[in-house]
Amino acid sequence: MGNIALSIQDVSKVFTINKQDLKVLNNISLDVSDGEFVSIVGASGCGKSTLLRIVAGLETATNGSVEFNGEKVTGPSSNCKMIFQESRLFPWLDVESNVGFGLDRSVSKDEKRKKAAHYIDLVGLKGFEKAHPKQLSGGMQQRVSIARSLISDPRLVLLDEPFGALDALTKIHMQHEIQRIRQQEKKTMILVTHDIDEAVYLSDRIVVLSERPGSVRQIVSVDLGHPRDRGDDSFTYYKNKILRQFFTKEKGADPDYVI
Amino acid sequence: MRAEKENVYLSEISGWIQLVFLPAALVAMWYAASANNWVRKSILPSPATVLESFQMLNEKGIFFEDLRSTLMRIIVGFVCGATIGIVMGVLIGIFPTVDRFTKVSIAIFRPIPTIALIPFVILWLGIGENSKITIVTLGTFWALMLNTISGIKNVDPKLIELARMLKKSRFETVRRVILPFALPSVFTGIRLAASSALAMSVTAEMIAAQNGIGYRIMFARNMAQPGVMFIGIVELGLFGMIIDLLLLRLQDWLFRNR
Repeated sequence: MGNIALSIQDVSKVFTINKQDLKVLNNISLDVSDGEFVSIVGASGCGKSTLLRIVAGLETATNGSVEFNGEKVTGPSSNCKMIFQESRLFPWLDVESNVGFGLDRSVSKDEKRKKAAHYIDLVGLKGFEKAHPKQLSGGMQQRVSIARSLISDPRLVLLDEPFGALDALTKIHMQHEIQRIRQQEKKTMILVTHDIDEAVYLSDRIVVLSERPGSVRQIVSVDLGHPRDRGDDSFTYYKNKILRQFFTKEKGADPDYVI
Repeated sequence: MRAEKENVYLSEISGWIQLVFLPAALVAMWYAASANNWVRKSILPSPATVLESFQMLNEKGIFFEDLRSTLMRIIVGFVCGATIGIVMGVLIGIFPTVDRFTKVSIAIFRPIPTIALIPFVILWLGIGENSKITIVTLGTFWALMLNTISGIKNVDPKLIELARMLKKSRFETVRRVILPFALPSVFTGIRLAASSALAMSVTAEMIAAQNGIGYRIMFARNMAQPGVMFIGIVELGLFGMIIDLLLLRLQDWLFRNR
């Protein structure tokens, strides 16, 4: 792994809801290397999506800071793109234009079309350039949104439960695709998920967050090559290791019950 | 295979029958009622009287002149009202400051029925073409402005956030996300405004005009010509139906991908 691409330093976040303070993130620190795939897992409501949104510059941290390529994150950056749980496509645009929307306005039409064609091909949608979102399945729509995020060639790609709304089979297929794209495009990726299987399948490191307010409970390095075999003993070993974290009250204590 | 084809054919015919059944029955009842003198002729004109009235209007060229006058008022007033309404709606929907500056005025003026403004409009603009066009403009303006505002305010915040993530400028977000998103709602406004334009133009003609469908109906009432009144009313119904059908077609085509 190369240099540190992203550095999260003591990040805390407090939301004020109905005049009541709600702390969702508590002193999170994490360094992500260039080209690394890091997953953030945790129970729902632990603030993992909020953490990702702070990294994306869509939300500001109450305390602490995020540095991306040595610069403090103060807002969305053209070098960092986020893929959301919903594909967020424009129904009035065809696939090509939806993907092209990810590019800057200064890019020429020809260039836009050429790049769109390349990324549409990359996500396996060749031949669907002129289709509209409503003609596509959920999985295909998410592929379009992936292509839209990749087209500007960002260094960092943030994935916020991108396959959470897909059926189990499509999900497995898409995980494989992300793995392939990552190898091909050499991106730094951070994935937020509650799917441990997905995290083990894709990640170099897995960050387990505690319940709200989320803090780093454990960081697990997954020392397996790609592509990974979900049926493999070592795969199961990592899955159990992560899963156990969810059912342990205190750091280092024995699990409350055996899974 | 042949039987299937015949079935499709039959169901298509029965579909058409269902559509025209009620109008045909109404015409038949009207015919029967006047032929058997169930209703007095001065109250309900017979089909023959109506036909005679139509021939009379047509020979004098009045029928098409009325239709043309009313249509012109609707088109000019609608275009004015729609333009002002959409522009105002976009400004109010996009700029919170404009929204706050206009909020109270809108709340006060909106409940006033356009009809109530007719005397004032005549006082200011006289009884010429301008006042009638102004009344149609007023009648269409509201529907478009309000639907444009609600279309813009209902934009999916997730799409706005996406535009933010992709570092789009405010102008580009408005042009490529907010306005296209609001378009179906604007179109609903157009359909509402079209029927309101027809209503307002006829109302204005009934109060002060020398031609037009509304004027003709009022004139026929004074002249005790129920046949002419009848023609005017049916004409308005058909006219409104055709406008809405065309707009519906346009709507389906415009938003076929949504």
